[in-house]
Amino acid sequence: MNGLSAGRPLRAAWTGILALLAVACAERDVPSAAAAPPGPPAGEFQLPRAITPLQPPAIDSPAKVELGKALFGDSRLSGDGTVNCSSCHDLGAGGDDGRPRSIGIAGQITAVNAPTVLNSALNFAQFWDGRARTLEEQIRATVASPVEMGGDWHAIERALRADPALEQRFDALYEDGVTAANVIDALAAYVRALVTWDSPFDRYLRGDADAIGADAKAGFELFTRFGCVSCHQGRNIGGNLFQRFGVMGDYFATRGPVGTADYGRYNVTGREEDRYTFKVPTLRNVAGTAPYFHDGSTATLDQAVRVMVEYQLGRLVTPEQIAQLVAFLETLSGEVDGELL
Amino acid sequence: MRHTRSEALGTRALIATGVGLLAVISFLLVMSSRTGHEPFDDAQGRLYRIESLNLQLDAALFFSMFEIQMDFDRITELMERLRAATGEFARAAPQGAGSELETALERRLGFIEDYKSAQSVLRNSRAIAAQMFEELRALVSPTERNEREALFALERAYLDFAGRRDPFSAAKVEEAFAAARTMRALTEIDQWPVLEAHVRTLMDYNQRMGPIMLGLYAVPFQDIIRDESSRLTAQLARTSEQAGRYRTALFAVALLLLGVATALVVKLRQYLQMIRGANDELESRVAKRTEELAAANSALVAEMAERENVESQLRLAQKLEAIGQLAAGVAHEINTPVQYAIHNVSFVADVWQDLAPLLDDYERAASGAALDPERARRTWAATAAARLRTEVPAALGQASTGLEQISKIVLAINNFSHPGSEKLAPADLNRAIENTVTVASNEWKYVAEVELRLERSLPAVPCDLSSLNQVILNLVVNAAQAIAAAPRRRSPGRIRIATRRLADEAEIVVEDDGPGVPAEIRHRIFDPFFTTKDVGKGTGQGLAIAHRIVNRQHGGTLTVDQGELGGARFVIRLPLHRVDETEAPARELLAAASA
Repeated sequence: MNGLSAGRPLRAAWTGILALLAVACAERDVPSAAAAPPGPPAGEFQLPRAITPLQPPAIDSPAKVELGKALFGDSRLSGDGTVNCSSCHDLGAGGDDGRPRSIGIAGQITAVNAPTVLNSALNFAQFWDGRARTLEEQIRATVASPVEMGGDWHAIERALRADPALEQRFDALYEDGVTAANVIDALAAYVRALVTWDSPFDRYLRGDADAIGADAKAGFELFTRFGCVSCHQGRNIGGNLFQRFGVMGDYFATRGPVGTADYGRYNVTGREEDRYTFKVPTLRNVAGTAPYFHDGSTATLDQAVRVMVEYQLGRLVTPEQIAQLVAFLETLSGEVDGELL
Repeated sequence: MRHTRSEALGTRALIATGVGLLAVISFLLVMSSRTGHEPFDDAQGRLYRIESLNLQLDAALFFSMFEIQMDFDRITELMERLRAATGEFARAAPQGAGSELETALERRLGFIEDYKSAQSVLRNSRAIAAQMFEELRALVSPTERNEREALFALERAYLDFAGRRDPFSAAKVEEAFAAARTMRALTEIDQWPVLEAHVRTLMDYNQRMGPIMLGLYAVPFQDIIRDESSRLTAQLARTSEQAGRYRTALFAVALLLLGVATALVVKLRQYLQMIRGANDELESRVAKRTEELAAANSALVAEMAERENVESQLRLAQKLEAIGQLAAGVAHEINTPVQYAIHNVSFVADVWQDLAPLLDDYERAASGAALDPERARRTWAATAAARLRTEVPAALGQASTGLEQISKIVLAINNFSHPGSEKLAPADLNRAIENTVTVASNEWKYVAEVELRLERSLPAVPCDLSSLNQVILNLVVNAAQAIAAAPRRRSPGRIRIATRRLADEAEIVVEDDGPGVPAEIRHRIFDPFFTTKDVGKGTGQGLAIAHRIVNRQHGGTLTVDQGELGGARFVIRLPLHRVDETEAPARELLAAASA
């Protein structure tokens, strides 16, 4: 009798302990399972390619993108109300302004050529010298730059709050309404949506053999064989590494006097080996973003290809090959969803 | 009763202990459940994630180095994710643990950026060099054997260098270049400078790549992850161990609590029994107590009556004592003027004897006999008639003064010892004081001078004069005795008696220049039977009774302090207006009884 009544709770206790142990073990497995690498999809092997097609952007909040679009063209973001984002990043003109260097507030000339805003969210860093790691940092800095937009974030907050309709849109999206961080967030959401994912070349890469012409196909082959693809690779055909401008020749000696802006990444890191090093720009929509390079010194794509071949590739090239390369580069131009314009 | 109280105390202590133990158990329960798994799992999870991303990055670098992966997207993406994960870990990690990891990561990512730049140049140059070799081979005619040989030698040296990347193979490439440069058929081909530039770029960037890769793998990123991980594990072990200790303590405290609970149950049962017994006991005890109280009450009433009796006797005794004390003094006081009167009257009687011959002569002359001038002259000379004329009236005057003095003393005694009626009647305090000082003059006149500063405008004060006389006498006698008891001195002592009117009170101050009353006994000086005089000299009742007379009978105050003269100063204050003087003592008595 005694043994029986003592045995039952003991067994119950053991069962409980085992159950607890099981739970404890299971719980401890959770984090490692969550941290497991998301490996490549099973059963599918593709030959590695240097350039991959773009995917349509994933838009979390269309309302945010809409708000960002409104802000993108809002001159209240500049110090004197004369400049907005689209002043230098005209979506109707390749996402830049077509000038060697841009005009900021009060007619000031910026230090470097405005890169396209299209696909800029896919770049690993922002600005020619990559000093901003994220779009948000870039937006914050550009708006506040005394040469570019000359905006004061507190003044911008005040100005936007004075607009009831706009304030209402912010209040609907953000708990804290109009703040600098929320303005930046909406702008970044908009820029992230500006992906030209359906260019002819993307369609070609996705399997549409007729999407690009024969010259462009020949140009792509040259692009790969010549070594352009060493730097201009990946989904954004560039925009994911830094490279010295003039690996195979002294670009700046030929071009002329060197200024601070020409030091590139050196201005950020202070490392001697980073002097004349820049973020490799994306070649997407390159046909629409003349003039070229950080200094906007090269007016045509044809010339730009020649500069690259000479100073980066250090090889011989025929005019025919240049034309083929340009034909290829032209297939990299795509458009964004019309609603975003 | 005492027993019960200690029992209750014990139980209370038991309950308090029980509550305390419960609190301790709650604390231990919480502490023992803090195994540290949750924060550990979070931090360890983040570390796993960082480590996993890092390993993926290593794999991506490997694929990139061997040109299996042709783009840098994967590497770039992993770098960003790694940076984000490390940042997240650093924000959640306790001080410092994360920043070390972040610093190491930034160094590592810096090397990877350099790798990407160098790798893309190498890739380009390798591709172009290969193409140039190919094109040159095609362009150099088979007949130019030396040139072909030199080109092959260069290509071999280049490939050897590409495989080994050591200074020896680099030197071989230089040798091959030197040999080939002498051959114009080769160097004049357009592709030759392109080939040379790229081979040199390759050699240059290969040399740069060395430190980059060494640096990349020298960054102890993985080590820091491991260290951090093992630190976390050790911490978990510690917290688990701690939790184990708490569990042991929990068990022990639970046992204790069980003991306390058992003790409480036992106590409770005892209590129930006790309460039952105590209930009966209580009733009888209440009855007994009521009885006791009744008895005590009647005893108190009796005691009060007795006390009242004793007090009145004491007061009488005090009065008798005072009168007795005075008797000798009064006798002396009266004796002096009596002697004075007697002496003067005897002198008059003596002188009157001398007058007889003169009267005889004058009688004879009146009956017609001739006055013999010779005889008359002799008789005149014998009777010293001149003395008669001046000294007899003086002697009679002096006798009269003595008798007056006696009369005054007798009157004062009469006034002083007037039995009084307990009823307060308006009286002239100044006169009473003068009387008393006179009556008591025998007490003070050998030791001190009495100075009276009596305010003439003092109104009549309602008082029992005989009692008040006694008080003043007592104070004067005390003052004189205090001065007499003090060490001898040349000049006589001083006693000052002053009266003045205050707003609603009359004040009598009796002070002396004796040694005074030490502060530490002032509060006891009015206590019955308190005396500083030698045994047998005082009853210790004087001031107590004076106090009673002033405070109780007259509703005034009698206080003592240090006076201007340096000795004791007694201050009597008597109200000028009393509404119900007769009832006051009775009321006081009632108040005392109820207290």
